[in-house]
Amino acid sequence: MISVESYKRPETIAEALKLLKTGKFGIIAGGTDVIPQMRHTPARSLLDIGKLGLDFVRENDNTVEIGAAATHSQIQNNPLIQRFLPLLSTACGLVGSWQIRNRGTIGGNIVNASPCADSAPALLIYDTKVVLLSSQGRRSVNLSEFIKKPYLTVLTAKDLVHSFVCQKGDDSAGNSFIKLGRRQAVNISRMTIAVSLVRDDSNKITMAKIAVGSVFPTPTRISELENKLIGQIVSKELFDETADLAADLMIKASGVRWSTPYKKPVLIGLMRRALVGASGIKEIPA
Amino acid sequence: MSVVGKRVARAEGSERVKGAGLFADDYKYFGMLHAAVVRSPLARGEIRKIDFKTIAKIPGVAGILTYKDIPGRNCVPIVIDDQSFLAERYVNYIGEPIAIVVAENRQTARLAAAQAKISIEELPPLLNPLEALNHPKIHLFGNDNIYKHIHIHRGDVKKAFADCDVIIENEYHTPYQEHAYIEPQSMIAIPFPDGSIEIRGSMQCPFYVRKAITTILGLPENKVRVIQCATGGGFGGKEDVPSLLACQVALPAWIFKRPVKLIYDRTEDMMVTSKRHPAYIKYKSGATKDGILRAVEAEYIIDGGAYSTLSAVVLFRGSVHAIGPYKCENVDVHSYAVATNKVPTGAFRGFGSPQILFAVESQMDQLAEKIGMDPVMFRKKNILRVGDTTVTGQKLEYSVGLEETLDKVIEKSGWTPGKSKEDGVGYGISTIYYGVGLGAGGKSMARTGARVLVHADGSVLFSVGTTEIGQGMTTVLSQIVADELGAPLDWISMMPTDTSRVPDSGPTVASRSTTMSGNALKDACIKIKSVLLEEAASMLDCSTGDIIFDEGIVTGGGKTIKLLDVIKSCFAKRLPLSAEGWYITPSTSWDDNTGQGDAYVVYAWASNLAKVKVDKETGEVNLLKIWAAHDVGKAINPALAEGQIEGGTLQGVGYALMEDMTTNADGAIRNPEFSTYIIPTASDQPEIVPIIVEHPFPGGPFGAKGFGEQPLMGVAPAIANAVYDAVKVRIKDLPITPEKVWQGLKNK
Ligand SMILES: Cc1cc2nc3c(=O)[nH]c(=O)nc-3n(C[C@H](O)[C@H](O)[C@H](O)COP(=O)(O)OP(=O)(O)OC[C@H]3O[C@@H](n4cnc5c(N)ncnc54)[C@H](O)[C@@H]3O)c2cc1C
Repeated sequence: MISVESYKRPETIAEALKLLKTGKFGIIAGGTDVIPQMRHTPARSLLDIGKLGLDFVRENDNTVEIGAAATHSQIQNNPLIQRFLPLLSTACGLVGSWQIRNRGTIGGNIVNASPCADSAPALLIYDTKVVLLSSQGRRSVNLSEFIKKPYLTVLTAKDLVHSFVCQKGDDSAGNSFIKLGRRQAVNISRMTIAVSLVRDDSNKITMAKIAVGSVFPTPTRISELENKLIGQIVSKELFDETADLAADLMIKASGVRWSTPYKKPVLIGLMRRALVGASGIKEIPA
Repeated sequence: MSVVGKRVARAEGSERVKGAGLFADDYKYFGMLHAAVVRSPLARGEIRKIDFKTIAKIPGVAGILTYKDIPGRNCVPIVIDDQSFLAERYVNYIGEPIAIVVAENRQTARLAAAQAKISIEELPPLLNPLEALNHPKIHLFGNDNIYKHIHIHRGDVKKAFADCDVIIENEYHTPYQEHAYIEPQSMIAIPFPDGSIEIRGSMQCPFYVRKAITTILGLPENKVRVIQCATGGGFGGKEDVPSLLACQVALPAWIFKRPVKLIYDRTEDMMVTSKRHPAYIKYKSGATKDGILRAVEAEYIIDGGAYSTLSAVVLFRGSVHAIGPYKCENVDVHSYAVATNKVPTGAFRGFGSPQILFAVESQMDQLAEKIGMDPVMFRKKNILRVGDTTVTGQKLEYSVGLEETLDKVIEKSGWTPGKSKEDGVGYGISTIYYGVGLGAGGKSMARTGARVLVHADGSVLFSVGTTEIGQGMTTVLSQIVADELGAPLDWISMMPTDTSRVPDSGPTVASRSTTMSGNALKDACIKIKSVLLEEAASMLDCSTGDIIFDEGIVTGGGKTIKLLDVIKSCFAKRLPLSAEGWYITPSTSWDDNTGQGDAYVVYAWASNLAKVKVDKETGEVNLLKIWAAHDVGKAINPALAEGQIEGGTLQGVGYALMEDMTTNADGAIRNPEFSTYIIPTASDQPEIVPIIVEHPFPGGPFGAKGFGEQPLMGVAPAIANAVYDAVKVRIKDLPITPEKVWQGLKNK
C-alpha cells in the first residue's frame, strides 16, 4: 500500500532548492525505484523533478554533460552518447525493459546506489563527476566518491543532483559491456563488467579502463587491473592473469560468501571475455 | 463445415488489446465496501486471543467478522471438507484466514487488517513433506499426514528388474511453480433484498464458487448466482482459490447488506494462494539391451500444504502419467499427497503430471544412453500406439498420434540423434501424453450443459458452464455453433458464464472446455437445426436430407434461400428456436489399490525437441529453439491451438530454467514478488515451432480433444535432456539454474 503525504512539482530549480531546504521532501524522478520502496516506508512528501528541464545531453570540449533526469531510453539512443560514451549507451539499453527505460532516469539510478545499478560501471569508465545543487550552491563530486556504500551516497536531503559530467571516451578504444542476469529482460544484474581498451599497432595496451558492478559492495573502477594491463602486449596469459586478479580482489574485499564458489570462476570467465571483446582481436596470441 | 478448422481471430482479442474488457476491479457498486483478510503470521499454532478493539475504531472500518459470524457451515468445500473458511482454534499455515475486515475503501481495509492483534501460541510446524509423512507425533491430517495414497501395480517388478540389462535409479525434485496470472485474484459479492446474492469475479469454476457460498451462508442454490467477469488468466490458480475469495466477500456482504469487493495485492496473492505441488520422486527403471522398457518402480511424493484442496485429484493424474506414454508390463508406483504447514498447493496446468514426467523423460534418456541406443529409437520401441494397453490396463482404441508427433518434430527440425553439432549445443527430446478431461478421478462432475438461443434477426446467443480464461474457448465454441447451425460466425455471441443459465457443468479444468461444452452445444444445435431443416424443406419444397446449410445460405432442391429467411419464417410460425444441450462423458473406471482402470476417455499426445546452447563458463542455458508437436484430435482453430502451444511452452521454459519458489525456515514463501520470483519475459521466448497433428477423437466435436495443459508438460525434461546432450551434465532438480549446471560441469 502506498501513501503520499504531499506532492510538489516545481518548474524552476530555485523553487525546487527552496523546497528541498526544508528537509521534508524526497525527490522523485521516474519513480521506478522510489515507488516500489514506498510500499515498505511510511508516507512521504514527494518533490517531482520532472519539470526542471534536467533531461538534457550537451557536449563541451572534452566532456559530455547529462542531465540527471535524462531517461535510460534517451541515453541509449542519443547520438552524442553513442559516439563519445558508447559503454553508457549500451549499459542504459540493457536496463529493465522498454517501460522502465522510458521512465527510469540516470540520476535515479545513481542516487539509488544499488550495487547492481547498470549505468554506474559505464559512468565510472568515463571518470564522471556528479554535479550537485543545493540552496548553499553548487558542488561537484567524483562518482567514485559519491556512492559511499550500498544504497548510500554523500547526498543530503537538501541536495539535488543536477547532472553528470563525463570525460569523452577515446575514439580508438575498443569497448565491451557484459551483463550477467537470470533472463533476457527486466533483468537485475548479478554481475556487470565494463572494459575499454586502446592498443597500438604492436598490440601494446596504451589505455585500459575497467569497472564492475555487483562484484564489490559498490560499483567500482579497478585500477589494479588497469595498471596490470597498461604497457603490456596483448596475450592470453595477460588476460588470464588479469581476470584471476579481479577474482582475488573480489574475495579480498568481500570474503568468501555462499555465492563465491560460483561467482569467482564466472567473474574470471566473463572478465576474460570482456577483455578479449574490448581488444578487438579474434584469436588472442598465447 | 466452414469455420471449424479456420484461423479466425479471438472473439475478445481486440477488446483485450485495448484494455476494454470488464474485469472484476472495473465494477463499482453504490455503497460498496472493501474487504481485507486478517491472516495467520505463524505456520502452526493455537489461537489464544483476538483483539479487534483498536482496529474497529479506525475511521472507515465498517466491521470485522470471524468464524462466529458464519450463518452456515465454516468450510470451503473442495474435495474433502477439511478446510475451514475462517480459522476457529488452530492455524496451519502462514496466511491462513482468521477474520475479514471491511471498510469504506481498500486502503483502510488493508491497513486495519495488518494491524489486527491476534495472539497465537506457536506449535512446532511440519514443513518438510518427507518428515511429515507418517510423522509419529504431529498429525495434521488423519494419523499419517497422507491426504491420498495411490498404488499402481502391474506384473512382477522384482522379477522384471532381474531380467533387465540396464537399470537406472535416481532421485528428482521439482519446486513450487506460481501461476503468475496477469490479474490477481478478485471477487465481488452483491446482496439483494429478496434474500439472494450475486457473486462476480475472476474464476475458472463458477459452480465451485456457488457451492462454497451455499455452504457458508446456508442458502439454497437458487439464491446464489455466480457470474464470471473477464478473467486475466487462470492456469489452475483460479480453480479452487476463487471459492475462498467468494466466501471472503459473501460473508460481509450478507451481514452488512452492502456489496463488497476484494482484490488481492500481488504479494498477498503469491504468499497465500495455491501453486504447483513441489515433488520428491524416487525413480528406478530398467530395460533390456534391445531397447524394451521392462520395469518401473517409483515413489512419488507431493507436498500438499495445510489443507487437502485438490491434492487427491492432482495425485491421481500424476500417478496415471507416472510411466509416461509407454508400454510397460511391470510397474509398481506408490504416490502420496502429504500434509505440511505451508500454503495449500493445488491445480496448475498439467495437474501433477509435469513433476513426474520430468523424472520419466530424464530416465528414458539415461536408459537409452546406457543401452547405447539413440533416444528417439528407444522411445519408438516403447511408445503407445492404437491397440496398446496403458499402465492402468486401458486398451487404446483410437486417436493415438504420438508416433506422428515424434516423426514430425524430427522432420521439421532436420535433427537426427548423433548428427554433428557445434560445441556446447545440445538437443533433447521428450514424448508425453495427457488424459483429457476429468477422467475417473472426477467422474461425478463429467457432464456439461449448454443453451442456444436463435433470435428473430438471426443473431445467436449461447451459454455454457465452462469459462473463458484466455484459452480461446469463446472463439472455438462460437466456431462450433456457427458450423452446427450453418450460420455465419459473426452472428454468434456467448453470454458471460453464469450459473443461472445452465445446469452445473463442472469446472473449467483438465483441458475439457472444447470437448465438453462443444458436445453440449452440438446437442442443443442439433435440436434447433431440426426445426430449421423442417422449415427449410417446406420452403424449398424438397426433403430435409437434400438440404445444406452453409454460412447463412441454405440450398436444396436446386434452389438457394437465406438462412435468415428460414429463421424469420420459423418465428412467424411461432416455432421454438432455442434449446438446451447436455453431454456426459462415456464411462471411466478406477481402482485406487491396483491403479487399474480406464482412467480417461481419450489421451492427447506430444513430442518436444529442445535445442540449447550451454555457456560452459557461466552455466547459463541459452534456449535456442523448441519444436513442439501435439496431437489435438482436431484443431478447431489452428491459430489458437498454436497460441496454446507457444504460451504453454514458455510457461514450461520458466519451470525448466528459472522459476524457483521456496519457503523460509518459518514456512513462508520466500519470494512472493516478481522482482525475486523470476518468470520468463517476452524476450526470453525462444523460437517455438508449433506443429499440429490430428488423430480425430470420435467422441469429440469435429474430432477435437482437449490439450491446453499439455504444451507445458514436456518442456522441462526436453530441456534437461538437451543440456545433458550439450555438456553431459544431468540436472535432476528443477529449475536448471546456471549455478547447478556450472556445479555439474565442475564435478565432471
Ligand atoms: C521492473 C524494474 C526493472 C529494473 N531494471 C533495472 C536494471 O536492469 N538495471 C538497473 O540498473 N536498474 C533497474 N531498475 C531500477 C531503476 O529502474 C533504475 O535504478 C532507475 O534508473 C531509477 O531511476 P528513476 O528515475 O526511476 O528513480 P526514482 O525512483 O525516481 O529515484 C530513485 C532515487 O534517486 C533519487 N533521485 C532521483 N533523481 C534525483 C536527483 N536528480 N537528485 C537527487 N536525488 C534523486 C530519489 O530520491 C530516489 O532515492 C529496475 C526497476 C524496476 C522497477
